[in-house]
Amino acid sequence: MIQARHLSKQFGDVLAVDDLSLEVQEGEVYGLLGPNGAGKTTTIHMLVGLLRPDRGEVRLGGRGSPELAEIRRILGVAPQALSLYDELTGKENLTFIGRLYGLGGDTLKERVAWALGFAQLEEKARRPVATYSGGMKRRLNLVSALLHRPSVVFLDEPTVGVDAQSRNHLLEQVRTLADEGCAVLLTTHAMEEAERICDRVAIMDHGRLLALDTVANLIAAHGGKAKVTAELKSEVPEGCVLPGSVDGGRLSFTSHEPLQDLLELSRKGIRLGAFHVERPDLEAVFLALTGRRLRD
Amino acid sequence: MRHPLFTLAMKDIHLLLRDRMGLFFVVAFPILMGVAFGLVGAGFAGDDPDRKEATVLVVDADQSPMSRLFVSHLDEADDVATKAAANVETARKQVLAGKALAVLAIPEGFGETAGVFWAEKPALGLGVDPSRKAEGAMLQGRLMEAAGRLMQDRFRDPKSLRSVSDTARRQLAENTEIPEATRRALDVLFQSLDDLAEATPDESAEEKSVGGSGPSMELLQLETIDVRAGMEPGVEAKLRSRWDISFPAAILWGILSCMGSFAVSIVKEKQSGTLFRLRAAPIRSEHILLGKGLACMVTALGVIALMMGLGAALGIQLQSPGLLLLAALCTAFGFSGLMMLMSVLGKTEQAVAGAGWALIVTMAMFGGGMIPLAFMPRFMVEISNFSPVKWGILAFEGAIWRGFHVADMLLPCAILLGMGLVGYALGFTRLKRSF
Repeated sequence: MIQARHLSKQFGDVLAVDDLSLEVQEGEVYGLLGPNGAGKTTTIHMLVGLLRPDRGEVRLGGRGSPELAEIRRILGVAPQALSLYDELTGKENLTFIGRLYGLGGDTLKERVAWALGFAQLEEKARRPVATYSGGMKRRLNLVSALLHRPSVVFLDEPTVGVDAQSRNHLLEQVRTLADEGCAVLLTTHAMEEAERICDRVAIMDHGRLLALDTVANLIAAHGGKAKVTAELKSEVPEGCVLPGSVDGGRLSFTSHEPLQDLLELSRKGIRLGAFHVERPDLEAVFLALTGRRLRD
Repeated sequence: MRHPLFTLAMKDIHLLLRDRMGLFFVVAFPILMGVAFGLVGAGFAGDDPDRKEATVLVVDADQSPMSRLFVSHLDEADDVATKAAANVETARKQVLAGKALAVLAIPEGFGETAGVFWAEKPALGLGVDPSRKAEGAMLQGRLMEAAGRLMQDRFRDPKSLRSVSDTARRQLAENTEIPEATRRALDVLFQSLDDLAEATPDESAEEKSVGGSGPSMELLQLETIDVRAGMEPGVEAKLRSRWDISFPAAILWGILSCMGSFAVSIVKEKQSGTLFRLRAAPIRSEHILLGKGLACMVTALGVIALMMGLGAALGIQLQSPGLLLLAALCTAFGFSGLMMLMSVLGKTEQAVAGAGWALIVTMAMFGGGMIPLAFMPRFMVEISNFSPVKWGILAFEGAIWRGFHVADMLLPCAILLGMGLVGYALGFTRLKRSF
């Protein structure tokens, strides 16, 4: 549904996007992770047709360039900055956006009602958006992108500034969209969100894709070993070699197979008390690939 | 399915209606301006020494030394400038177009009795711009003053005095109906005039004094020239309310406020992020810009309709609804184009608002939006030609009370339309580049 081939974009001396290719399938949630300045926004702007790439091409829905109005009709975009009219009510915002996408009459009414329900904003529908909380605005911003039943959806940091309850609801909605056949491209800073809903994740930095795979594969390939800490309840038998160091009766070591290593220690006659295994996550993947944390 | 242009325009009008402060400046402010200026309209013509000279177009059918002297005396007044005109009709049209205060028609035979207080005189025709009534009263005073000085001239010039008594004697001799007693009394009077002429040194070669007041007695007969004569049948040919002058200026203030509001709204969309959604929608960027222009035009037309409705309730009797529509469309288009241009004056809401209001105030100040052009110094009147506000006001005045014909509307309308086209072209180019 989303195909980008060898996209490049330069602003003056800065190469914002460097030979980037990606493909998002129908029903897939594709996560694009990268720190500020990685080129995510420039990439999205090129993918939705607001910016013309210096090189490369974008095709949406297998039909053509997003610069064409008829292609943009299948596109839903929820930008990171809330793009809502504060002076208008939630319902008026949705009605206006629906009309821009060619909806009218009963269809428009029906879709606006659906969107308000989807965003759980029915009771506030007739209140100006200026009176909404941050979470309510974010939900309205999201459903504004879905009003016209797009088959390709771009969500730029959709959960920024949203409380935990609203975030869960939003993530469930995004997953539901994909399950219904939408191709969703999502950018986020929150690793747990990417791990939770993304089918595949691309790590981006300095305008380039550094890695692309499922979360599990990325962690396996780039996350490194799990960190294990275990309490020693007995003396270490003579001749037994421990996999790590002991400090204050606590054994610490790293391992690709932490549970098997713990079982092996037990088999060697070492009695273990409480233990803790810290598995690698996307943050570790990111650190390993870029040398810095995602929020740096 | 509604066209995106209308959807976008309706959204912008909707937003304006929700903005109380914006709405105040677009609707309430011009009403207050119109009413306030209308109420003080009677005091427009003060005795400001810096007021511009009132141009009087003189049609001298007499072409006698006395008529030329009369015009020369009139021209010597500090606040009056005379200009020769070919005929009354041309001069009348120029007065109607606001290019002169009045037309003065000097009839044949004026010189024969000018300055002779006992003689019956042919009436001078005087037509004053209806919007400058107070200045018209001042002009009448200046005319009397000039006529008074003619009488002084008569008495200082023995030849002229003798000529008056000779003419009178001849007319007395030709008239057989005058009783003998009256005839003898008049002979004595004419002889006294001859004696006075003998005793008066010839000062014609001497330098004549300039200035000084004439006698207080009325030495002149004036006949009103209706400067709006020849207008459409059934149309009353005079200003019917003080609002006729104040409302066109107030309408322009409303339109200027519209322009300011919508210019800011473009950059506001950029800053708030809503422009991103518009650009990602299946519409062309031209639609986004034209939608703003359409919203500005529709709002301006709404303001004009509201002001004219209020004006009608207060007593404005519109002369030409068709020309009003033409003026309204041209003005709304012109200023919506200017709005496009104004929206690229800065990159932030504050920058555009600041630069926009500076531009608006300057245009209004020099264009007659604050002080009617009639009361401005000459240099400001010259500058006013560069202010679109002047042409907007003139177009509305032409339709409301100046009695313009379509041909008279061509110049202001062409300027407004041209300004609109240039504004749209430049604004479009800059805005599209900044998208």
